[in-house]
Amino acid sequence: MLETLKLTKRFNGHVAVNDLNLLIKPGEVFALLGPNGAGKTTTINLLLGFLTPDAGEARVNGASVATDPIAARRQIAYIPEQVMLYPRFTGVENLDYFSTLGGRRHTREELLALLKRAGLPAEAADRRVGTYSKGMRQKVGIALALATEAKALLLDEPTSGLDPAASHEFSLLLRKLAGQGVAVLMATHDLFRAREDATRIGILLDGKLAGDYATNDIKHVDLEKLYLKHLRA
Amino acid sequence: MTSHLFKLELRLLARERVAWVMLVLFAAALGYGLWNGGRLAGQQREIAVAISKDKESFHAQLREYLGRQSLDPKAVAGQGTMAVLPPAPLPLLATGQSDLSPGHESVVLWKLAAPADTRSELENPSHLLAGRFDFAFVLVWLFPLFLLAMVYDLMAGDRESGTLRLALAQGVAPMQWLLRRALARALPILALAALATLVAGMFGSPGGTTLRLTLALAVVLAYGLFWVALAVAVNVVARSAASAATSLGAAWVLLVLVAPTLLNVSVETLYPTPSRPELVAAGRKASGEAEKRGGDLLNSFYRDHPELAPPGQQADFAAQHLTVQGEVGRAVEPVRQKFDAQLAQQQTAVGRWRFVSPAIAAHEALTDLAGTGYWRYRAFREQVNAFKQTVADFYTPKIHRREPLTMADYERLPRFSFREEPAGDWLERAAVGLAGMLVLTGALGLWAWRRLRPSRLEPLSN
Ligand SMILES: Nc1ncnc2c1ncn2[C@@H]1O[C@H](COP(=O)(O)OP(=O)(O)OP(=O)(O)O)[C@@H](O)[C@H]1O
Ligand SMILES: [Mg+2]
Repeated sequence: MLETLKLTKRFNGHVAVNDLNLLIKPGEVFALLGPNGAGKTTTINLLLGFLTPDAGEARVNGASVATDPIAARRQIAYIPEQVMLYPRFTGVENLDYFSTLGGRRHTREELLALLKRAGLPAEAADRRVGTYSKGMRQKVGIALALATEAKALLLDEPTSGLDPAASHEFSLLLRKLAGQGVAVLMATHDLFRAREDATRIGILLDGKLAGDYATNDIKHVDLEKLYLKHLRA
Repeated sequence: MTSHLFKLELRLLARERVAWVMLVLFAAALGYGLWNGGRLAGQQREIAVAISKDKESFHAQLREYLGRQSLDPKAVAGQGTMAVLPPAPLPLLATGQSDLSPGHESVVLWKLAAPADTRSELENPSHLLAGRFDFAFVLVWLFPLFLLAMVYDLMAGDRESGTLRLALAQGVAPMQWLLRRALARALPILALAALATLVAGMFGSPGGTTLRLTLALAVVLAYGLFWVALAVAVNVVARSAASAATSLGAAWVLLVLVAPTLLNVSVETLYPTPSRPELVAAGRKASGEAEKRGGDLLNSFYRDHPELAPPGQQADFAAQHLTVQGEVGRAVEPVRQKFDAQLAQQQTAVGRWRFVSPAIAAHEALTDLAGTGYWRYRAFREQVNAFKQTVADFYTPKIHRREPLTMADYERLPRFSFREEPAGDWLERAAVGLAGMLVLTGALGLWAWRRLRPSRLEPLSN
């Protein structure tokens, strides 16, 4: 469960996240749409405790990010827009390193299986990440998110850089995780994927939630038109 | 978990070619420093052995001669006695003063008033700059550089590249992460330094060096940890690997190059090194005056010491010389004491201000523990002075009374044997130095820890 309560963040007087209330329950995939600079990444940073809010609170499965940041982070799997890894480590080693940091040891077989689930070609797993493409690094990030077995997933444009097939596989994975009771917050510009994967769609404008729709309720609405309507309003 | 991460950090380090180059270069520097120190220590040991052999054969001859007949004391006194400072307990650790001061002095009855040639000078902190390539130089100067080459980028680079965000998002306590990495990356260089210290200890004088060596090891590690803590602190604030490297480079210049020079200049200004020519001139002046009054001096001496008056009050040249010399000694004594006091004052000031830079504290502690520092040479100088008095006390009455030296005197002949400083003295100095370094290290660590609380990641993750 991911929760923000009247969450507010300002940067030098400019309000990036404005009195934001969100509640993403287990099994929900919440797609956060919004133009550049709307505050999507800032919201994710606040949930990770990487930013200190000026007002309000963020919670992960009930744990307050402000007072118990380590516990909150341990319950989060996070895939950034650009998964940055150690180029001198192989894919397996990177996965091993970061998942151990989160307090989980895996055997080599488990790590290889995770990378496979994330769609990384088997031959790449023992290659240095320095030789990876952006999409391959992204897949290591997905494997890492799987490795944490967290009940909350934060995704910041996770499929950017993935080819259509990988992107499709990721959708399937996401739905499966939601089926297992994971709460997902996904910041994205991909209206198509949002419509496909999300159970709810939120539109963020200037740090405020301008629209919040259950995907089922807008099945027959053109999402692009709806989004643009919000932008012009 | 922690040990697995430690292993992974080491593996990451091992993938950097620079790390291997640094390790090899450091090993070479340590080896060269030890070899240099070993050469000097070997030469000094040879000298000490040669002197003691000479002494033994002289005494054997003397004994044999006295067994047959008595001997004019002037003949023996003229030969003099060598006062020898035994080889330092851990000479390879630091050359210290041992290449300035001979560590032995010939004590000759006729020359007792001449100022000693043993120079025991201020442990000039900028001697660090003199480029003497001994083990202490490698440790104080180069060790931090090699260490920093490994640990300058602990977190700053991760912050720049974005791996830090991913790492912190896993829910690791930032300070724990930083410390583990710092220790893993420092480990190879620290281990090499520790190993070299133990090697230096193996060539120490046998027996009684275990405590010194243990402390030296602690000093080396504490000094290394100080630099690691500094790298940790810099990485807390640095936004890029390059800026961390620049800051740490500047810190090295400041602490290793500038601080010792500044301290030396300040100490020289506040407590100027006493002038040796002044001491020599005072001696000349006193002996000139005393010689003019030679006859009077002798007469008054015999008035004060009638028991020493020779038969018929007919003093010979030797008796006159000794009387003049005694007078010169008394006249010069205050000047000599002032000279020594000034040196001691300088050294005390250095001791007090050594924590301006751990480089100074470490160098002081290493020379002290090696037994090549100011204090052991000072102890030697003081004991030689006392020994001169013993020599004078032994021969002077015999020469005045023209008593021959007999077999009965053989056992009572003045012989110099150096008493090492009480262990408590050097122990205290070294322990204070060590504690000071640990306090500095702890302060840096505490500061970093307070800056890196898990709830205060905003400065890190943006
Ligand atoms: N560290 C920062 N310092 C100052 N301003 C910031 C900082 N981070 C974000 N901002 C500002 O906050 C606002 C929201 O930025 P944010 O990155 O959250 O947008 P976003 O919705 O993720 O945009 P994008 O779609 O481009 O990723 C922007 O105006 C941005 O300039
Ligand atoms: Mg963004």
